[in-house]
Amino acid sequence: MVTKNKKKKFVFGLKQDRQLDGDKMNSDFMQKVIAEGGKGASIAACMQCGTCSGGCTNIDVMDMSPRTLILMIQRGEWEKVLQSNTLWMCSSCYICTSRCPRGVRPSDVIEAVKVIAIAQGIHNDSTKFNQIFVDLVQKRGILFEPELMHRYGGLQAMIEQAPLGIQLVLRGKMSPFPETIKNPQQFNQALQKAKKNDGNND
Amino acid sequence: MNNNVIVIGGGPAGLAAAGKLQDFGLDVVLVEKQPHIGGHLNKWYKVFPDFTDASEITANLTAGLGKTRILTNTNVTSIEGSAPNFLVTTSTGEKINASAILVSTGYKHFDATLKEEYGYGIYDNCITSVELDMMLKEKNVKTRDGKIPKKVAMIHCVGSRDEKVNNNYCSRVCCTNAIKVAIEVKEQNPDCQIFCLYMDIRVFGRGYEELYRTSQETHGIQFLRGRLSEASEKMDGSLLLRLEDTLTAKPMRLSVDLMVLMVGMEGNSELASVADLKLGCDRFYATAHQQYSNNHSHREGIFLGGAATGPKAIMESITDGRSAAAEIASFVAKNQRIINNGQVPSLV
Repeated sequence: MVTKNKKKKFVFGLKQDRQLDGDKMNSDFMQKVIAEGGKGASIAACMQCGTCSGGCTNIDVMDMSPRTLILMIQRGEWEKVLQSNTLWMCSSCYICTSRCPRGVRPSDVIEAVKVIAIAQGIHNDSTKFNQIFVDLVQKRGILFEPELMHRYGGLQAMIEQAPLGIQLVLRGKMSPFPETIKNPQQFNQALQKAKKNDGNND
Repeated sequence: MNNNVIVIGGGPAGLAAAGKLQDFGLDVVLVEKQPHIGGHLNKWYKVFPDFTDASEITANLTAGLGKTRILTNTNVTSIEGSAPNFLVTTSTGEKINASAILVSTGYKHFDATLKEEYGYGIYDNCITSVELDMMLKEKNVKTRDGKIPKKVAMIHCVGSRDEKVNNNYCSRVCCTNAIKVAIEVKEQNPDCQIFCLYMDIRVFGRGYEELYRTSQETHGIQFLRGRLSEASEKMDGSLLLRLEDTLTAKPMRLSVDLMVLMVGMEGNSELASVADLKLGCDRFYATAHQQYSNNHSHREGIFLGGAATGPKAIMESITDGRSAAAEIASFVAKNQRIINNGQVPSLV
């Protein structure tokens, strides 16, 4: 983070982003987010109370709180929003959405922004992770976590996660060997059907 | 003792009180210093939260006045005697006997020139909420050059919650009024971008919060949390505002074509010496008790109503005026009974 900010230094150590330029505020980005699936998300209704951020399960690892994210979208600060790790750190637990007193749906907003970010080719580990996850489920019908770790982060990630994995195995939460499902053919048919319907389930 | 009640001040509270008092069978004399009754209602276009025409309210209250005697262009110059036998002298030299007096002299607007850093009276495109309502009434919200403003800022808390102008209190109505005018400006100029610079949004009444939400959702009004620190004029007459956006904890510069100062209310203490009334530390008239005697002054027989005892919305002023009318009617009736029964009046 520190290194990121350093780049923005201006002459004499002045930082360019120290002051906000109110004249840049516009609703273009908000309209885009609304068009990408944020339609029922009532972005404009946000009154900045912070209930969403207060209950957020992953706020510790986010660089921008859900409240700030909504504010930045309202003001059209798309660079900040798209560069934020909040998009990828959101676990879609929907606590924010279920508690908002004004009916704003931050989870839906984040999903919509993610669509825009992915379309713009913003680098993130989340899409990669999700893609591997889907591939593996397609392959076996059920996830084999060590394989997921290996494909996602290589041997290093596997070793890093090993202590947790062993504990999970010991408690019977995870199998140390790849599992199979009862009827892989039927499962694959269901997947194919779901793929066909993709895009029609809005 | 007679059946006369004098109501001083013909704004919403005074009109509402006078109407009820004459319903109670009392002879009411309404004293108004301006040429017309209605008070500040005459300046407003529409009233929040339901956009009722201010003229409709005045018409309704005036229709209820019945045989009330109205003295316009008149001040009260002296009040002699004590309850229930007052002798009131007006600026026209008339002497009127009264058994009770209602002071419903309302408020005056904060003088925005005192906040010099905002530039009212210096910059052309810095106006007050009162001037904006006149513009809205004429459907002519324009900058001084006659152009339609593209960006308008509503500055909350001008002359309220500000130790530097000796007004520590909240004027209560400006938040909702700012939201109301923002919606109206947006409706008259749909391309206009509107910013409300607030410290807290204090919308407390029935339907007010809903109006706030509607302004955001339906009209796209933007709310910036931060008090305006200073404004400066640019070459083209537009204004550069400097504030801190406290939601992101960063200073902000914002240029607007028109800046509207939501001026607060100040007590109208003109009658303090004439009627020998006490003032609160906010310079509005003090009531006998804040909780259960809020239409009584410290003097027996002199009652208070409306914004004379602190900032109130139109609806609240009307209600408070009527509440004062009930207090006066009961006071007069009690005194009549005492006289008829030959009892010694109690001191309380």
